[in-house]
Amino acid sequence: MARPVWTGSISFGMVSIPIRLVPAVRKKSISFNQLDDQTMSRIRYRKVSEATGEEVSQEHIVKAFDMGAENYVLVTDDDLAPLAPAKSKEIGLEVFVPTDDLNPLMFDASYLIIPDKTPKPYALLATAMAGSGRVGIGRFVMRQKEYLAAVRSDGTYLTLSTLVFPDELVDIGTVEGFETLDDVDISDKELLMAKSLVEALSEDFQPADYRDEYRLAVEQIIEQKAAGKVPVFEDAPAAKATVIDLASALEASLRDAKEARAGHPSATSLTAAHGGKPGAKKAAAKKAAPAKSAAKKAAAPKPAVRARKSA
Amino acid sequence: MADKLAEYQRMRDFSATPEPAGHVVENTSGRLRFVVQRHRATRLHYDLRLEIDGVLVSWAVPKGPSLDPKRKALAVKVEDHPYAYGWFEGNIGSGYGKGDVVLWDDGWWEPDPAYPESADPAKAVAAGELKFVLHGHKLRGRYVIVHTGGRRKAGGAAPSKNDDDQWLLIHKNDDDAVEGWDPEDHPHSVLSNRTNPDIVEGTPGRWTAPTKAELQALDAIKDKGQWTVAGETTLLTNLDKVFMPGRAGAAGATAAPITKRDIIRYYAQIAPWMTPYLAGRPVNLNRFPDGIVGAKKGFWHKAVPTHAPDFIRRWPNPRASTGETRDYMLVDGAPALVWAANFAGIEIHPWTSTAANPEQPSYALVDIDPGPSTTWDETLTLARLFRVAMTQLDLVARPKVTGQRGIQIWIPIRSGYTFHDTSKFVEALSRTVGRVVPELVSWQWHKNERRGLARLDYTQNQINKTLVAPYSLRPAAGAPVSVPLEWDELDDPKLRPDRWTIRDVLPRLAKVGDPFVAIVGVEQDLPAL
Repeated sequence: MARPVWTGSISFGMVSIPIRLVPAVRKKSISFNQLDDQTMSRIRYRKVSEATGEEVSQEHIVKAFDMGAENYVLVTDDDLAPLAPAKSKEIGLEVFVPTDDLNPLMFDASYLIIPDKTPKPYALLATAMAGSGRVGIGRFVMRQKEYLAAVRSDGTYLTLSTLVFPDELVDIGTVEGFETLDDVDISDKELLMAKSLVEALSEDFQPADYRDEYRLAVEQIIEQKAAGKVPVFEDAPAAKATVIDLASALEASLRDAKEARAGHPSATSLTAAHGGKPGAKKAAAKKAAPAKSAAKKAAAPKPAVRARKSA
Repeated sequence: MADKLAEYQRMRDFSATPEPAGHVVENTSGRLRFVVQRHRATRLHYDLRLEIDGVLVSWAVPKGPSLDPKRKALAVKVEDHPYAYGWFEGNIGSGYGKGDVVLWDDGWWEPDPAYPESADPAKAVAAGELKFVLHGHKLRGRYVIVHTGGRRKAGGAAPSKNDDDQWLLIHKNDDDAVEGWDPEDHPHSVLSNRTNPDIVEGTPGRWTAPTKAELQALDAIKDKGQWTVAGETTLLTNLDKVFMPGRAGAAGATAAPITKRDIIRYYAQIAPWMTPYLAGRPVNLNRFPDGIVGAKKGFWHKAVPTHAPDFIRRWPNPRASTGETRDYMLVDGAPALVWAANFAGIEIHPWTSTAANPEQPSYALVDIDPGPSTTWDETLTLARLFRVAMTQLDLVARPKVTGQRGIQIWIPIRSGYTFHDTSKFVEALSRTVGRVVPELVSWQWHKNERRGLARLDYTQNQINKTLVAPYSLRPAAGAPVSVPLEWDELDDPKLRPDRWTIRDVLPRLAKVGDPFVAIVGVEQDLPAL
């Protein structure tokens, strides 16, 4: 089980719910080490003074804020100490706001909230919040930093997302490029078409449909190399191979058709090179029920006249 | 309330069975639905299902229900089924209930008004005796179903082998009673006219064609009158009104203008051939109440109008939100097509999915939609590329001309795919085809930006997005028809997208049959692209 990154309680009103937080996301990107290809030893970073080129030991490294033009303001731990948020073991939910009011750009890191000690108050909050369409907003302190947080419920589980502060969001007014939108005219017809396209492509979100193809491919290469093989660069599993086969078959058929036309000006057929009736040949083999033989299919069906009503 | 169906859902693997998962529904019609399904499972039995409180309360009746009051049929109470199950027929290839199912009878039911203790049916079932009246196609009249033995179980419980929840189903001796009536003598589906063996073998059902006498009766009607075909009567109007001009430059019958009578006669006669593509599917009608003469535009009609006769089969779309069409028509025979034709529904567009499982397509559809500057040869080139692709991917499929300018490819698939799957597959397939002939294809969705090029439209693979039905008429001079083809017909120099019309489709069918029979009942995997 994942180790909790924070232990404490959620409080709102008079209620206090003991909980633990574990990360909801386990990033799966692959990291590499750097090696010296002569000695195959690891590459190390060292903290070096620009002035002397010598390594500087930790005790001599101080923090400074860059004021520009090589002016620095030194800031010591003592300066910051009075500002450190009071150590707190509480996530105080201050308000419950409509889910839609929350700008999704504010979501930062996500955590699962696990009930600690007694599950009942947790279940109560999860159930109570579920139908409300609201999220709880509050503040808490983790690793000496204060966070803004949103607590959500799906009816059974509570989750927490830390939020960036509103002034950390980029102000759209300061970004160049949007001004071209000012003079756009949209006709009703265009809008209708765009809307119908959106509708046509509307479906429920299926997260399982999306995978990190790049990472999977990198893992495959590592596996192959570890097994002593020269990696084969397939950009995806077998599926793409079908497309390549298909594309080359299509191109071949076009070439054949052109050649056929060149040879016999009247011929436009693509079948010559592809063995006549493709579907018909397959039909017998692919039928779900073996009873449907090709022979049976070949006979043109006579609509059987059967009594529809029985009584 | 979902726990009513918990037992049903626990017993099935919905990635493997064609049966719907379903949910508890709200009744909006005011009429309670009943169905009887003939199910060849480990043992043959009939399932009687009555809609009560949003689910189908169900009994397995080994000998089947009857109209004979002397037959007391053993009925074993089984788990409640979802409402959507009442539209299901098909082949359950594996798992629970493995076997084939036809929708043997359906209609509406009511608690027997003579017995106040049955007025609350859920209570009556719980008390072990329900008296009710069936209004079906085969079953009619007053019935009683009464608990006789075995352990009573809550609605959701399944019967255990040794301790069946046993009931008796008895038809009362009323006016509808028929002595000696045996359900086994009436094996056909009320939806598709298929038998259980037809379903396993993938044999298409065929609705009853009009008889010679019935066609003569149609000819004898003046401009307006009642016409009875296959047991149902429709009041036909404006029979001699010209709906479409004949084909310009054509000779003989093809040049003659097309009247509403011609259209009604055509749809009655084509009914058996359309069965496999319409049965069990909601349809959208493209209506032209004044025909196309005077270049009048058609409009889409989805709802069954309230004035439609009782025999029109209505399917309440469970996904319909307020203000959306709720009751769709399920065509179930020549009479429904005759009614639709009289209602000026010139073009018929069935859903790609069935009423039982609206979220699951039965086909992946390729739509080659030529642009203004696409030539017929170029359309054919695209269609032939799809033929190569189908061979390469080892897929059974068939092309059809639209009756206008395009060609479509219909690829049958197994149950279990979603519209997301078919749409993605057809998109990948179409893009692969498009890449080898970039000069012919545009991917712009805005028509003006396509430079007149063809579009390979994969976006039709969506619920309630429809392509024109095989053998539907198209609203154009001469009344051209959307006709299924064998692949090698793409090489016939005489082929045109609107080659066949209302006048010559039936002779073609008599001569070469229906090429789409090859795709009926085919269950295949979509390869990964």
